[in-house]
Amino acid sequence: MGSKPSDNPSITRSQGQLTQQQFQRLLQRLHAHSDRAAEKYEEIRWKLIKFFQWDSCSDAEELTDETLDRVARKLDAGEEEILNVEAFVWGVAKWVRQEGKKRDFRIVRLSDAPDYNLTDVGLAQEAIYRKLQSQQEMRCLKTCLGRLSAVDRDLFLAYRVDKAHDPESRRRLAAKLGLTYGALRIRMIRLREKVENCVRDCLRRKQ
Amino acid sequence: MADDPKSKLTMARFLLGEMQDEERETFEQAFLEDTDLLHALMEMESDFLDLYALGKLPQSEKERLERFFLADPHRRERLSFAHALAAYPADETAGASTPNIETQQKAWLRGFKFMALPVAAALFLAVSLGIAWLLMTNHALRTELEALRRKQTIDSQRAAILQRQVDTLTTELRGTNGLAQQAKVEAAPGLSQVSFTLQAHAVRASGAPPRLAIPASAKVVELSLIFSSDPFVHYHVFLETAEGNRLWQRDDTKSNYFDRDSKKITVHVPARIFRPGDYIVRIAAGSQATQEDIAAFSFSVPRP
Repeated sequence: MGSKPSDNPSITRSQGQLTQQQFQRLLQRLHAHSDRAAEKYEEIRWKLIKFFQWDSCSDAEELTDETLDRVARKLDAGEEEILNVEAFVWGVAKWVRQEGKKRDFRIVRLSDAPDYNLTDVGLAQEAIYRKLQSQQEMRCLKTCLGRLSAVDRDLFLAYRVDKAHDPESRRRLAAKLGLTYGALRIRMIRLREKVENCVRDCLRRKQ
Repeated sequence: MADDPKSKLTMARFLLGEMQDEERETFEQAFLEDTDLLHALMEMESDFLDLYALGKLPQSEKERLERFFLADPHRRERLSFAHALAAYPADETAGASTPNIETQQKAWLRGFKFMALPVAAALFLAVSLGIAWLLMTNHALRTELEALRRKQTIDSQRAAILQRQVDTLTTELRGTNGLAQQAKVEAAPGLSQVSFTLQAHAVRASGAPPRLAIPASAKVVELSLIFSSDPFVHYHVFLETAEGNRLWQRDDTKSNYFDRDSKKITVHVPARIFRPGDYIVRIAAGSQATQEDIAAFSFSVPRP
């Protein structure tokens, strides 16, 4: 068993950028082959982001980078033997999450959300804002879908929840494409991520 | 593994925040180690957002999603996308096919468009969740979306007329803006709430009112209003434009003691109702017949 960060209260908040050497050592420990190591790094990074996001951490990417930085520094320091790097990463992530929660601002939950009590004029302004916002979102969505290949665009729209929500439809869809359900799911996750990021960027540019 | 009903139930409970700490930790460990499970969770997360955006969930299940799942700011941001996707015309699919598409895929996709039309949709939050299978035809969905769009257009037209009136008055009465003197601003970067503290003026102050710069990203404006102590317990808070148009109000608001001589009321107002211009927040107490003004706070919102 590798050591776990919870056994190691000496981990402190890291500072500054990782050195090239620290980063390389982390990659080497993930996989001997550099390409595979980079893939593994990306996979772990991605999992970490979801791990933090799903626990309502306010800045998942920052906490992810903090986790990976700490792991890289620890490996580079070589003070103790870490046999299972991935398990160590998850341990550090839990540690970082605990710290992150302490400093996190309270999240405003919808149920705690302000009692809007809008008057007619306020509601009118709200309606205008919403209308403009949704028009803008729709324009951005169209632009972003337009950037996909025709196949991806058709596939993306066909996979929508109102079209093929149940697993059976999706399984059939995968079979027709000569893919496993799992492979199609990954493709759709990536595709959706791409379109969502595109729409987000588009909206930011127009703000 | 992630696709059997029992696993789906577990995944849904995780996303809905219905797990105890210990179970949650075990489940987290599972998805960190099992990439397929992580993918299935991500898919379910998107499906939840889409179902919510489609507005097809029963009220109880809608509230269930709102309690935890949609409390997450990142998911709320993604929900905007889901709303846009839900409103995307059902029959608006791809444009011209690109020449390098595999024939098999093209053939299938053509077939799928026909196949998809009568397909009933949306199942699952379901299984034992009670979020139930959503059965709806695309036709029914399109009809409903069309009806919603028509309603939205009418509402927007009504709203636009009111807005033009408000804008005209606001432009006429907008004065020069001075520097903020009374407002203390606490904006947390990346968060959707911006907070201001305003101190009541006993008499209408001379000079420029404080300027409250509300970032475009803000969803909620928290106003902490400090005023001299009085014997009242319950208050009404009104937000009005300088022209006297009441934009927002909250009744039955309680105060806290700020210090020995003053009280504080904190209210949350949706950021989107603020447009560049001058505003007054009034605190009043008493019943409608005997309502008494307790304090007033004026401020201006500058152009971004």
